[in-house]
Amino acid sequence: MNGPDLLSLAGGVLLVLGSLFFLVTAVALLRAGDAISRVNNLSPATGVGLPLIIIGAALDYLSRGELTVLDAVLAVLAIGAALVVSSVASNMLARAAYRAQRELDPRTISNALGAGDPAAEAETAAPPAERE
Amino acid sequence: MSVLATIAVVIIIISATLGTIQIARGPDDASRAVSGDLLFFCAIAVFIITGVLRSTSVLFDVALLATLSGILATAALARMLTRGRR
Repeated sequence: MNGPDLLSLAGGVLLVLGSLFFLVTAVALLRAGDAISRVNNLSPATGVGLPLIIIGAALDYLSRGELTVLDAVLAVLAIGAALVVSSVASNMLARAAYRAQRELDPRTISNALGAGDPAAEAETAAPPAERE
Repeated sequence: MSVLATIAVVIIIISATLGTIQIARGPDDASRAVSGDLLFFCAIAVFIITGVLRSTSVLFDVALLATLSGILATAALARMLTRGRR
């Protein structure tokens, strides 16, 4: 087994590893207790699974000699975008989920969005329908 | 290599099916929004892996654009959940 074959094999293994992270995320979404836990459980797919798949694709292109410098730069940028954009989106969606529904998993401790936050307290006092 | 890529596509399709089940049974709208996010990233992953199999030349351009614009749907769904308030 020579160099390109090893690179191609490593790329394939990374693809399978990344897809396993997607499977773990899907199972975790089904098992979670409330919406905020589901937002939290999404991050393995976007933070680990998608970068692994992009790296695996880049390794396979490299093994065939088709990976240009521009492609490598785009792959690095895509990995950075997957990390940054998905974390910002999760933060936004978790705030919205907390404001939209008040039932939390009873195992939740240290509720930083609810206790001591004047805006959240005011929204608790007035239901969303009356504030329109 | 193509065997491993096919296995990866099958695993991702299974997780997309589980996400669809989650959308069907999810008790509230926020859970459905999260599952929609998972389906979006599953679609990107399937595109990337099938692009490797077919050796397409726009693979990394599409990956970058999709990850950059993935926040748009999530932001829109978040605004809908709070009915327009931030």
